[in-house]
Amino acid sequence: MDDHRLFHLFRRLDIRDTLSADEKQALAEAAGNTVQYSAGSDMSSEGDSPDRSQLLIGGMAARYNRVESGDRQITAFHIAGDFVDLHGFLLARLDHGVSAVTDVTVVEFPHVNLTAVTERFPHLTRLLWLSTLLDGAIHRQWLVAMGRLSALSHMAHLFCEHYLRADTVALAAGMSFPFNITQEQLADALGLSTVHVNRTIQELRRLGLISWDGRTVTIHDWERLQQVGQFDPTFLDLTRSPR
Amino acid sequence: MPHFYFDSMVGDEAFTDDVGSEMADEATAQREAEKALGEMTADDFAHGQPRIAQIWIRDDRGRLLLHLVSSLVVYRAPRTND
Repeated sequence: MDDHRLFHLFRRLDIRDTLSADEKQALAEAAGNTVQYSAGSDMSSEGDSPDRSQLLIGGMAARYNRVESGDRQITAFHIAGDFVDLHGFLLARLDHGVSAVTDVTVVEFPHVNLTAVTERFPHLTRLLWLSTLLDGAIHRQWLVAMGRLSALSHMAHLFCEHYLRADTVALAAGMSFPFNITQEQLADALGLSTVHVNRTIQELRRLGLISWDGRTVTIHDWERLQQVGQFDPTFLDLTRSPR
Repeated sequence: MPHFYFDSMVGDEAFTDDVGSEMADEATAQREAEKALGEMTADDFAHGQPRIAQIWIRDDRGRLLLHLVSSLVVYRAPRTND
């Protein structure tokens, strides 16, 4: 049985290792309900103890934390094929919230089903583990970019990362990929003011590197954008190899 | 909500904001500009030669409301030879 809802997840895993038919079948059987969230709504909240993990199959979501002032720091963007809270399978409580950036669709994986999968399929378990390791690798890159790169380089790095992630799960078209977020949300992810984000986007445009109509980013000079962003795709681990 | 435009200049690199942003009021726009100016100055200092950064806030009728300037000034203390 093949579950079309898992297409992006299979792409994400298959590009790094081969999923067997039995493993795909096991994931399809573990998949539960399809749930939709409207843009801006919370999909998980800090302190939750979820009994299911959510696989994003459409739209874009963000992990975030809030500080006392009420300001929000986005710590990750998720696209189709990403589990937004797979770590919640093992963590007692979520230490962050997840919100729908756009209207999103998820497939729920009850933890009891994931437990059964991990007990029967060690190779598939390693691939799910890899999925959370990739989340960690992306977090590390965000931390380095936020701490050590200029705003221009940081933004360029984010666009490089998202292009490759979108391309991996067949969401990119040519050198364009969906990036349907507001400048305020981008500012929350980069740790910058909206005024600075606006100026930085215009600078990337002026340099002829990207254009962004608010919904789709188009990269006009991939090599130069990588140079400006000091981007090395190693952290995305896009090499296909036995895991 | 009122619309504000934030033109800026770092060194001689000018940026004219043709898009603008909606903000609750002029005080909010000022806070946002102050934050941006701090970021731009810090960015410039950490990654290049420190220069003067400026932001001009205009309203949706093009009227200048505020002009903010930030710069890093280093005073070298006079030293005597022992």
